[in-house]
Amino acid sequence: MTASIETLLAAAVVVGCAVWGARTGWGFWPLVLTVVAAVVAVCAMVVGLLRRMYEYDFTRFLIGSDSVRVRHGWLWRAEEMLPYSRVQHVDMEQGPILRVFDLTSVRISVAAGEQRIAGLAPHDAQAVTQRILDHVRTAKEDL
Amino acid sequence: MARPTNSDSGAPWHRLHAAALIPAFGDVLRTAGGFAVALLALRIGDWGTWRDWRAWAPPVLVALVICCAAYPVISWARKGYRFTADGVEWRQGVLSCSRRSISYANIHAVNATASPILRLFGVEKLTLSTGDSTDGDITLAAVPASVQEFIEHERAVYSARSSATGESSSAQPVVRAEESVSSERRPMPSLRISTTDILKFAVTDVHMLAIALIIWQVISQLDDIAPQLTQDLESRALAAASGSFARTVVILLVVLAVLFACSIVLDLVRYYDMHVWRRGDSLVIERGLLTRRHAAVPVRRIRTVVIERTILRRITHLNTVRIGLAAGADDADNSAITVLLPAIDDAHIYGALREILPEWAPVRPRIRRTGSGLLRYYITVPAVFCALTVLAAGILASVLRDARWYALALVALVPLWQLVASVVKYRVEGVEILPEEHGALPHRIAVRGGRGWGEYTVFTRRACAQMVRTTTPFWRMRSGIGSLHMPVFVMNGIDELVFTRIRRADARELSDWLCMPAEQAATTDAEPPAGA
Repeated sequence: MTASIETLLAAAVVVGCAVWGARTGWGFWPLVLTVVAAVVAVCAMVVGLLRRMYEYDFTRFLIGSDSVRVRHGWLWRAEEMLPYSRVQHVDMEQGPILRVFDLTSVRISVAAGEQRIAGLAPHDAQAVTQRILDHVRTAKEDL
Repeated sequence: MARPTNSDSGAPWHRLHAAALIPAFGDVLRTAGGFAVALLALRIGDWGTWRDWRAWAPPVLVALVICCAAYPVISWARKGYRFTADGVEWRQGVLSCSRRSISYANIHAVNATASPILRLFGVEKLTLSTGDSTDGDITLAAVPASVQEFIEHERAVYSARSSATGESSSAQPVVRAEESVSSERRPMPSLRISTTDILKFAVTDVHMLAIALIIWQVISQLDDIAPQLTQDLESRALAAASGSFARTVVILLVVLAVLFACSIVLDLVRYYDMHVWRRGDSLVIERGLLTRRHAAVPVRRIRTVVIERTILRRITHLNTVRIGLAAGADDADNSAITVLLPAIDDAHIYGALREILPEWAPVRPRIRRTGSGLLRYYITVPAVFCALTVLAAGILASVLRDARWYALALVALVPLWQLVASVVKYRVEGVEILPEEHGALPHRIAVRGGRGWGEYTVFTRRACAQMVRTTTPFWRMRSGIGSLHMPVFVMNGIDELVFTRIRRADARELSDWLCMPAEQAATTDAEPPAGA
């Protein structure tokens, strides 16, 4: 979804630059900006397509004994580890688009950041939240 | 200042000193003055319009002045504070009233600011900061100095009493109440920052460029009000500068000298007679020439101790020490409050820090470089960007034969700057998990990193680091070279431990260190660490 919005935005910028160029007779800066915007839009579209194809395969999470681990990203593969002793609160969210597909995302917040596990079935999200909260309850505070 | 013994609801309310009205009136006058200048700038040449205004402008102005004068007085009359058994309570509001309570246990810092005007009345502005990421502070605009002493004393007593009864947060060291209070009276180590050190700080302050930008902004604003005058000045300056090479050099030197002078004056005003000392479990920082600032920070609230060296200070072997707190905004004023030592040389820095922060047991860390042998991973991307930018500018300039394409060559300076910054990071980035010491805070770590062309060393504790984020591009999955970020919960200064390039094994070691369960950590810490 994010990739599509990025591509649409890039395309809108290209169209805007092209309209500006056509109205001003394709001067120096309209030409440069249109070319740059077109290159960025094409790259965004290609990367967006690849991301959509692979993103699902590379998104994983693990509720371990000491921390929650979330892996995501295809080009840049990121792994985030949140120790239970740092977790401040856990939220379940369902925006209008997720509601259409009957999906829920879980957001785990620490004092200096957060991590999201997106696209879970509501009962799975409930179970994940409960398991994390159980761990948080028993985790000893770090001295 | 009487300690409240009755119930919270019965504690008496205190009104702010009437001197609090002076800054309020100042704000009103400043707003009105800006409004008047804007009106004059728009209408001063148009006498016809001005004559039309004369009929109705005076009553409107009088009404405005009455409103502007009355509001601060009503607002002041509605404000009040009181001391309850657990903390400080504050009320304010004319139309919409609000009350805020801060427990003594949650006060992260007590900052007192005494401007020359407030000093005339023997009062000061007091800010009680909490670890709230929203605007959760209490600001008492004008209160006697005894209020600050009372709050600090009550905070120390409350903190010690809570620790003794086990009600406090676990991050708080256990001390007996009478021990903590009596320790306030013991002579504690102190540091006085000399004027020479402040001058060294000012001369090596790269923020001098910010002053140049401010001057430029002032000139731009002048241009809006009196365009003819600024045009005359600009044309005269250009004529003088382009007269001869020697004259150009002289003018450049004069500009530099003015910027240096501004930097020195500003830093002297900010840090004059700076004094850092310990009072009980609090670190007290006092400084300032015109406005005296006094900050008391409980040592257990300090999240990071950061030693910074900008490029100029690396050359001159000087360091600046800052402390990171979970309270206060990350603005210029607050960053000045958290400066512990503006300029101190390499030889004395750790000795001075051990004197005033023995709980942190700061020693020169034996940093293990995590980027060792990874130079190509650091510089490949900026080097490629740099080369591509230069190449693109060259091709465009030669094909299109347009002089303006040369302007793109300037863009190459950005990746070039980034390239040098990457080399600096490669040379400095590293870590040491510090061995446990008796009497020192547990689970300390020292991380060195690069920022721009400068470097910094952060001392922090495991409890302050919140999570680990490792990122590896898919083409480096085999080699396992990625980056690691560890956000730290501080509201000012460096809030992340960063390793731009790190091996998988090192990243795993750091992740394991952060995610180690508390009970396992306690067992490990009980054993004498190797090499300690």
